[in-house]
Amino acid sequence: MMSIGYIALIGLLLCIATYTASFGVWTWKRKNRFGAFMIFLVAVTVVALPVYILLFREA
Amino acid sequence: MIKSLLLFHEPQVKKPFILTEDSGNVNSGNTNTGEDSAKTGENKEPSRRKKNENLLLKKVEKIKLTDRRERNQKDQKSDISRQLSENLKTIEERFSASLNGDLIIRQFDITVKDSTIAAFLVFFDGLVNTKVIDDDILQPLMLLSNLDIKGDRDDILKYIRSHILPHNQLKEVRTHQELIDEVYFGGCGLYIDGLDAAFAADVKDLPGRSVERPNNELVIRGPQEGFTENLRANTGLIRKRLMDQNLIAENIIIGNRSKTPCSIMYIKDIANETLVNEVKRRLKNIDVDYIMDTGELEQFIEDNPTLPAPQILATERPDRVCTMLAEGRVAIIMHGSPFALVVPITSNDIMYSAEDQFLRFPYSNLLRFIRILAILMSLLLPGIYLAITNYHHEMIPTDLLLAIMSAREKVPFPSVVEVFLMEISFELIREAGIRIPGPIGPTLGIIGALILGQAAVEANIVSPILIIVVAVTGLGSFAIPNFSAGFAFRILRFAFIMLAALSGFLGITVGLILIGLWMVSAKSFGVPYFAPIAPRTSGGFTDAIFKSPAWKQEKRPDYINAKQQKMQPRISRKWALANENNQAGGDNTGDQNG
Repeated sequence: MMSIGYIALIGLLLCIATYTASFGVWTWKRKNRFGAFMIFLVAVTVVALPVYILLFREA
Repeated sequence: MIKSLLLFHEPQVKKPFILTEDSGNVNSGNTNTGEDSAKTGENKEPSRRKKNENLLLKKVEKIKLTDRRERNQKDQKSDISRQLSENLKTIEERFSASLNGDLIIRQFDITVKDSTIAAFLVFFDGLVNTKVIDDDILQPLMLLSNLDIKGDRDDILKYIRSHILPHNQLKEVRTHQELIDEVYFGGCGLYIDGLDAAFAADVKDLPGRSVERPNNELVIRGPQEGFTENLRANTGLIRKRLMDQNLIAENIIIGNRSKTPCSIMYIKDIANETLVNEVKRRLKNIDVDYIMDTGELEQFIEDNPTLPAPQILATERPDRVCTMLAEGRVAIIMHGSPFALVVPITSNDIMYSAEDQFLRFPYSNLLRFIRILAILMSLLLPGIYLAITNYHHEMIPTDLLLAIMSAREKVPFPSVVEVFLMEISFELIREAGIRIPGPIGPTLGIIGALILGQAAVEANIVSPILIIVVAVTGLGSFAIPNFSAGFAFRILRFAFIMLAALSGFLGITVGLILIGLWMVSAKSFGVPYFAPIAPRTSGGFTDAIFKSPAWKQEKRPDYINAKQQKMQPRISRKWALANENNQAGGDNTGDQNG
């Protein structure tokens, strides 16, 4: 069961990921496609990895 | 608000002033850097925010322009009337004559041909030399009655100027404001009935001290004169030494209300025009009511207000200003301040004393080495003590470690508290020593330090070894020749103490890297603060860290981009060469004779 702590943590991670993704957009606009792709990857990882560890991985 | 927190925004790129050789392009820097290519990309896609900012800036500029126009119009309106009574009324109003006890308005008559012309003088008692007014202005004017003036009355203005008033500094003014400004700076205003102009005579005799020895930059070898609070005396002290026909002293007024006269001094054919223009631009764009000292002015024109180290050199020595002007720098002198500002400077300039120039190079190099050592001790010694005693015991011999530990055995506090306690006490003694009047101050400071130190050790509050560390640190900070730099190192020392207490040498290293980055990125009027070391310049300037002999200093500092790079020819001791030639010639003759 998800506690309030988990929700707060995921919310914080989403904020970080949003900021990172917006930086990725800015990088994409400046024609640094590879850099932007890597930043998007980081943004996704920032959320996906903790979420997987917290919710799906069996102890 | 949430949007600005959650989304990335394009960073605003500031365009700092970079000193270049090109005098036309003020803001141009190295065009090959990645930063600049980013700037061009940014120009192609101007954001909405930037547009708004530009609009705002334009509005502010418009308001300023209209303000200036209104002021100018006001000044134009107050043109001098041909009616003396009107002028008298205006002057009484503008100077608040009924309230000002030191304002003198002297009315008198000038007899020309058969008619009598009324006139009056206006000046402030205490700012002028009354004897000069009596002898050079009042006396000749009141004795006019016997003079035969040819032509009509309109010629009176010219005639008075060229024949009657023998005073050497007489200015014809067309507006009341011009005259008022002159009167406030020790001038004397003369109004004559029937004339739409007035005279402003420079009769200033401002109260102030005479030229004395500089208090903060004492030298054993070298000139013993320091600046005073009088602007003209200060410019005179520079002109006395630097008899160069290209030495310029441009006047500028700072302060909307204080109208403090300043002088920008530079050597026309040496100083970089871009630099001179930048200095003028910064000074002209100071919008402040009152400004009293160069200490305030420095804060208004420096590049990085948060940088601990000073980016402008404040000196009270005319000889030092002259040396720097000869290198192509610009000096700013302000009325009422015994300190001249010199720009641009680098980190080296704050480590050198004025005496370095006058000593033979081995001596000045020894002193420079000692000073660098002093700076390092002042900055790092308490931090190093903490790092070693708390984290890195293996760095010192075991016997010394045991001695330190046994001395600290009875001290109940952690060593960081000990260090802070002693450093703060030391700063307290130093500050109190300065504030105590007269010669008691330093004596009381030393006695206070001795008694306090001894008592603190006996009471087991601090260990004796820490007293030595703090004392050596204090001595190191006193050896720093620049007053402002001394402050910078004192502030940073506390930061290093904290860092060392947190993580030993790792903390100190991190601190050094951060401060290094901060300093290296700083600029003083477009010149990198760590030039010529970082960035490395290779202009053959030989006075960067260690000094070369005087005859070897052939070039000016290349980072200043002076118009003339060469200071003296490759062979400046030509007598030595001539001697060799003579000897060779003599030998030849001898041989021939033989």
